[in-house]
Amino acid sequence: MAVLQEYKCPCCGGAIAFDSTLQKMKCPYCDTEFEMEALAGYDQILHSTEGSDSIQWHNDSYEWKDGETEGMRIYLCKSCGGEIIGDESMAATSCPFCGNPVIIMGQYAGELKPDYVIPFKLDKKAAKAAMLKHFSGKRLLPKVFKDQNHLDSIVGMYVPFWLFDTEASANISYRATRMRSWSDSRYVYTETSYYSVSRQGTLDFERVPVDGSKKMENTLMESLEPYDYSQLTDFQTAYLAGYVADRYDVDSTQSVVRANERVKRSTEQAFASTVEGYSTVTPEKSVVKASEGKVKYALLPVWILNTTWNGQNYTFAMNGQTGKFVGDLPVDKKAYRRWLFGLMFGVAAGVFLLLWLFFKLTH
Amino acid sequence: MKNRRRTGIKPALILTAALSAALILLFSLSSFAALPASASEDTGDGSAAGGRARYFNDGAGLLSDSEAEIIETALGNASAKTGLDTVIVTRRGYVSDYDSMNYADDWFDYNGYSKNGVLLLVDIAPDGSDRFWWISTAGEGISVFTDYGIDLIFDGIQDSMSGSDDYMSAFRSFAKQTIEYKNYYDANGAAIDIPPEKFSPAGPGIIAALSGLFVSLISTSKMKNELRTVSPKSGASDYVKPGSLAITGANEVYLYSSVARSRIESDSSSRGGGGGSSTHTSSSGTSHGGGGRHF
Repeated sequence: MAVLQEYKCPCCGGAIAFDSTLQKMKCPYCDTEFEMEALAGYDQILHSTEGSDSIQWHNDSYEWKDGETEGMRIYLCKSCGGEIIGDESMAATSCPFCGNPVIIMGQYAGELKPDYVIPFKLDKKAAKAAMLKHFSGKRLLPKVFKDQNHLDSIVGMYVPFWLFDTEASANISYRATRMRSWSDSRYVYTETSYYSVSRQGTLDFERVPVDGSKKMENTLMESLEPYDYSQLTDFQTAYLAGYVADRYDVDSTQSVVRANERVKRSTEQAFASTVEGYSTVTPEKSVVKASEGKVKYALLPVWILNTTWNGQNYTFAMNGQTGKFVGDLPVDKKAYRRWLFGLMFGVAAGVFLLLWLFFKLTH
Repeated sequence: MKNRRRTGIKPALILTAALSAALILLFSLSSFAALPASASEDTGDGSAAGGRARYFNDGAGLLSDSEAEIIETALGNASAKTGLDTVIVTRRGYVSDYDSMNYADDWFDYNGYSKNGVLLLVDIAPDGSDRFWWISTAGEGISVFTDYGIDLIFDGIQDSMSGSDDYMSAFRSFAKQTIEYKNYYDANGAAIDIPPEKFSPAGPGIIAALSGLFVSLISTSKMKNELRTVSPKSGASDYVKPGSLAITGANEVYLYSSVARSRIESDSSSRGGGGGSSTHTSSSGTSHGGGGRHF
């Protein structure tokens, strides 16, 4: 049963949210701070006392067209009674009417409960500052982009990730050559010896992350790596208060394909580095099997910033833990041409002058 | 050096001459006390004029007497006009290029010529199998005849011989060219030499254009890459458990070998871009320039 959860301040009854600076829950109304451990107990009590509330569907006011309601969920805000419309994977958001952070409990119930969460370390201000920094020092960025770029939304989001532990066992063969050369008075001889080299062995991987959300582009999420896993904490719903969160909608069996690709590539690289002492090494055949896999489900913090410029959308993302900021930027074609031709002629003229001077000095 | 007798110094005598020369230096005796006592073989080629040997000394007997007189006159003219003793010596005694060079140098040093001059030696192997000529220069002659200039003289006299054994034309050409070279030297203050290399813009232009293209493409693509920060990760190297790489089997099978060989390019001797005259020191301690070729 999907139930909305608001964390109410035990002092004043206001809705409380997670504060990334304090790494605690904080009531925005009375400034009372709560330890996460305290909330964990509070969480349990809430779970044990609930039961009367149930999901309230509103599909009787008018006719939805076929498929329109598919994947759509409507919840009622506990504070103001407003309608919160979300998709089926939405797990945490804020009420569009009163702004109170809400969490949909059912989304993380039972098997859907994440194992870990990395709490946000950086706040909205840090994300905005990082965006401005991201724009600076880039010579081909249109000058007006920074001023005219309009920030449409900035969302702190817990993105569902699958973390794969695996032991990769590999059997890889290489074709390698060794060269030896000597000479007599008339000829230089080069002897090339060909070898077939093989390596068998294993390599362990820990927590290879694959984004489990359809909404998030995989390349964007991979660009934000790596996260500092030493700060992985056991999951508590209270961490989600004040942020947007989704539950996974790409399951682990689908995601493992991407993890295997990356594991295979790295295993091959690691094995190739053990083939030493040859002039050339070419992989011939490679079999990499990933076994003893374990999957963990984690929510990782990401700031998503949507902006528009010249009618085009630009999406930026920041690692909510490390502050790594990514996002493609437009190229100023005029500036590009200016640099290209300027450098070409400048360098050519300089080199020509140097050659001319060298000639004059030596002749 | 007036006393030096005209003589064709045989190689065996060169050592004696060298020792004598050393004695001169050591004891600073008067310049004419040092005549090598035993170096007195007379070639019988001509008479000395004021202690100086003739300009044309036909030891090999290449020309008739009347022809020899004509050449002697021509060489005398050239010597007078240029101030360089212009000498031709022929012999049938070719052993090696080195020997010919020494013979030419010594002939000039020990036969009463002035310090400045040029000597053409025509050296023919006793069995006629090889012919070599060498031009030895001394004093101002070294400056007037550069290595490159000597090469050109050989070209000139070989042309005038027109492939036959027309030594007459060859010697005439030598005398004529000596005058031309000296005139050129006096007029220009520099000898006929490798023409100064001109700066040709094509090669450097291509190098400059290519390096400009290279640098601009590299740096602008670097600038473009600054704008692209979203890219998939290729591997998972960040997530390798440290020290977990376990190689359980490794083997190497030798398959076969192949040998390729390439010929070593011998260094083609070059004279260096600067031109000028290369010099060596003869047995008497005098500096000589020169050059030679087989013909």
